[in-house]
Amino acid sequence: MRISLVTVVFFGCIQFYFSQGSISGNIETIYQYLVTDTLIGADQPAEKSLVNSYANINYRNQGFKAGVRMEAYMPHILGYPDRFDGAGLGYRYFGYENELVDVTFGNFYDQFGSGLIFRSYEDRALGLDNMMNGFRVKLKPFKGVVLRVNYGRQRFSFSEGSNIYSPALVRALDAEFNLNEWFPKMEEKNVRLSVAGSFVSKYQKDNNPKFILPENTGSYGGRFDFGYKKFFLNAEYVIKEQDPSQDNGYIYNYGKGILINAGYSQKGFGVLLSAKSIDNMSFRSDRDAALQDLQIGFIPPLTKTHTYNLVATLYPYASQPNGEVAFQGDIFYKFKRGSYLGGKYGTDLALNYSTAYAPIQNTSSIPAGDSSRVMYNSTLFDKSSLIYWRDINVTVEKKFTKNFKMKWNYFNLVFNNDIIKLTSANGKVQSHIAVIEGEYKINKKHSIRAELQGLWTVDDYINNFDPDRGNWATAVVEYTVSPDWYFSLVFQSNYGNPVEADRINYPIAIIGKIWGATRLQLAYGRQNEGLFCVGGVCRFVPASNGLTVSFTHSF
Amino acid sequence: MKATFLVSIVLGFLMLSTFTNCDKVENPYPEQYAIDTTLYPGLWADYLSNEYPVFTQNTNTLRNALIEDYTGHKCNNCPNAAIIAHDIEVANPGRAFVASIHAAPSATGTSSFQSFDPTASSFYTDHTNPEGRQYGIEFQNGFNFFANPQGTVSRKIVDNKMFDLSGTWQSRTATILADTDLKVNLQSEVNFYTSTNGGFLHVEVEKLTADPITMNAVVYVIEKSLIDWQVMPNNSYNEFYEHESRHIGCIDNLAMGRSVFSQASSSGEKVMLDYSYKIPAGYTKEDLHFLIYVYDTETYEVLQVIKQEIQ
Repeated sequence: MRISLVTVVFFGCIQFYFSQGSISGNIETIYQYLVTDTLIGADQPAEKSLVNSYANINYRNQGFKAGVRMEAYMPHILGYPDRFDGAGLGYRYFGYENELVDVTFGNFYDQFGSGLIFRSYEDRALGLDNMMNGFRVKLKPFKGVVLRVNYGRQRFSFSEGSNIYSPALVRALDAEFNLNEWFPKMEEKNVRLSVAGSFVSKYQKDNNPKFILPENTGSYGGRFDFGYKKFFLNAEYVIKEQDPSQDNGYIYNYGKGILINAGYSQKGFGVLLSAKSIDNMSFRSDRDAALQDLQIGFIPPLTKTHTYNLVATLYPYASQPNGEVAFQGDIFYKFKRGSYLGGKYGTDLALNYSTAYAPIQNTSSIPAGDSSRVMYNSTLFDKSSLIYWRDINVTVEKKFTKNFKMKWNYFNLVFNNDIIKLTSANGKVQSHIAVIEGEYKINKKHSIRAELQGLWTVDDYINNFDPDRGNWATAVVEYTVSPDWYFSLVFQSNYGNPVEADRINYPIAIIGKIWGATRLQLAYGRQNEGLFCVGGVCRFVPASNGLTVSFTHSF
Repeated sequence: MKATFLVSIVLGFLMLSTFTNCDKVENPYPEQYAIDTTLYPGLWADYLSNEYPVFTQNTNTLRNALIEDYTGHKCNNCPNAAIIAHDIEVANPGRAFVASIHAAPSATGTSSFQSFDPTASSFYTDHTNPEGRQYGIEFQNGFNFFANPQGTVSRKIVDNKMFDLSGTWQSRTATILADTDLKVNLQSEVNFYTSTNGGFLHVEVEKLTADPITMNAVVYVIEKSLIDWQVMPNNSYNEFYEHESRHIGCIDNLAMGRSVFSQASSSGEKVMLDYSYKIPAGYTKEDLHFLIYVYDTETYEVLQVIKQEIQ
C-alpha cells in the first residue's frame, strides 16, 4: 500500500511536470516502389518497395530539454548504405540550458567555425549523419565568451535498429570571443570582430601491424570574423597533426588548411571572394573509413550551389580533403529600374567563377631512404597546373511585366574525371550548359514555370577533353496552384550520347499537395545513376525507375 | 560572475592540456621486434605492398594441444616418453603438436641427462638451447617438474601439477582437444625466398574472449628429425636414434615471447606479429617447422597452438 502511494505520488509529479512545457517535432517518410528497367540498369529490389521513416520529438520545459528520433529502414531507400536497416531509436538526448550553461547528454550536433576540424551534422538526403554520442557543455561564463566542450563517439551506422558508433573517441574544445561585447565603441564605429580557437583530438587504438600509429591525433586552429560597415573578412586556419589513414595512404605528414572569405555588399551590388587551400585534411573518427563515413572535419566546397537539373546532377564537384587549392568569386549587380538595361522592373545579373587545382607536393626535399613517412612538403596556395574543377557561370534575371519574368543562365564547367571519378570518361570533361527559365503568373493563385536546359560536352582530345556521355537536354514544366498544389513534368534526355543504345530519356512526373505544415509528394519516373552532392559531400545513387512518395509533417 | 569565469578558464586549460597530449611518431615502422628486411630479395616497400599477407576471417573453433616433452639424450626413460608423445601427435593430425625440449629443472636448466662432450666420440651434441634452458629454470619450482622425462600438455594444471609423467599425456591431450572454450585464434603465413635462404613469418592473433587475460605469443623452431646418440631404456647407447620434433630455440630468441593482449583487450581484437627467419647453416627449410602458440602469462597455460611449415 505504501509503495503504491509513493508510486502514485511519483507519477503524479511526473504528469504535473510534463503537463508544462512544449513538444515539437516532425515526421518524414520516403517510400519507393521500384521496377526493373534494363535500359538504365535498374533492378527491382527483392522487397519491391523500400522505405525510410523518421520521427523527431523534442520536449522543452523551463530549461530542461529532451528528445528522440525514431528511425526505420524497411529496407532503406536506394542509395543509402546497405548497413542501414531495422527500426529503433536513432537519436536521443536530454539536457538543461540557461543563460550560463547548456548541457546535453546523449546525441548532439555541433560545428566549430566553418567546420574544418569539427562538424557533426545530419544531411538526410545524403544518408549522412555523424552525430556525436556523449556529452556537450556550452558555457557563457562572461559577456562575449562562449566555451564549448564536446566528448563522444560519432555515429557510423544504424544496423538492426541500433546505432553503431566510431572506434575513435572524439574530444573537442572551442572558445569564442566576441570583442564587440567587450568594447562597445567598436559597435558604434560599425566594426565587428570576433576571434575563436578550437582544439579537436581523437583517440583510436593502434591496430595496424605495419606501422606504429599515433593513437591520439590532434587538430587545432584559429579563426576571426571582421566586419566594417558593408565589408567583411573572415578566415580560418587549421593544422592537423599526424593522422595516417586510408584516405592519405598512411602518410605521417601534418595536415593544414585555410579558408578565407571577403565580401562587400550594398543595395544592388555585392561581391564575394573566397580562397581555400587544403592539404591532407581528411579527419575521421576511424582511420580506415571511406566515402562520407565518420568525418570529424568538413571541407566546405568553393562552388556555387546549383539547382538546375543538368548542372547540379551530372558533374557535381566533391571537396578533395587530401589536397586542393580553390578560389571562388561572386558578383551580383542589379541594373536599376528605369535604366537602359534595367527596364521597368530592373535586371539582376549574377556572375560566378570557381576553380580548384591540385596542390604542389614537393618531394625533392625528402631524403632518400627517409623512414618517417613524411612524404612531401607543401605550401598553402602553392597550386599545380592540374585542374580539378572550373565553373564559370552567369545568370541574368529580368522581369518583363507584373506577371512574367525570365532567367537566362550559362555555365561552363571543366570537371577532372581522373580525380572525381564520376563517369567512365578519361581526363577532363568540359561542358557548356544553357538554361532558359520563364515564369508566368496566370492569376493570384495559378502560376506556371518552365525551364529548357541544354548541355553540350566538348570533344577535344588534343586538350584532353573527353566528350563523356555527350549532350543532354532537360525540359521542366511546373504548374502551381497556391498555396497547396503543384504539378511538375521533368524530361531529361541524353540524346547526344556517343553510344546510340545509351541515348536514354528520363521522364519524371511529380504531384504535390500541401496542408500547412504537412506535405505529400508523389513522383514517378526514371532516374539516372550518378553522384548526389550536398555541400561538397557526395553519395552515389544507382539508376532507378518507379514511384517515390514522400510525406513530411511538422508539429 | 568572476568565480564562474575563473572556473571556466581553468576548465578550459585543463581540457586543453588533455588534448595537447597528442602522439607524435618519429619512425612509423615497428622497431621493437626488428625484422631482417634484407631477407626479401627486393625493395621492402614492395614486400609490404605486394606480399604482406591479408588474412581472411579465422573461422577455426577448435583448440589444439601442445605437448612439451622435456627430455635428455642421456635419459634412458626418455625414448618411451617420446614414443607416447609422437603417437599422440600422429593420432591427432593437425590438432596435437610435440616439442621435445632438452632441459631439466635446475638453476641452469640442465642436468646430467643433457650433458655432452664435444670432443668425445659419442654424446657430443649439445641438444639444449638458451630458450629451452630458460624453461628448465622457470619451471624448476612449483610446477611438479622434478626430472626427465616429464612434460606438459598445453601447460594446463591438473591436480595442481603442470608437469606430469608421460602416462597422463594422452588423457590430458584429450581434455584439451575437447575444450570448446577457445580463447584465442591463430593463423599464419610464411613467405620464403630461396635466394636469401630466409623469409618472414606473419601471425594473426585474435582474442576470442572477454576474460581479462594477458597473453603472449611464442614461436618454437622445431627440427623435425635428427639421428644422434641416445641412451635407451635398456641403458644401451643408440647411435642412430631418431630425435623427433626437437626444439632448437625460439624464432626471436624470446623464450617468453611477445605480448599480444593485455587484460583490457576486448574480444575480437586482432594483433599481427611479424618475424624474420634465416635457415641456420646445415639445415634446409624442409628440416624445420614452426610451432606458434599463445599462452596466459599468469598461468602459463597454452591457449592455442598451430603448426606452420616453412614454404
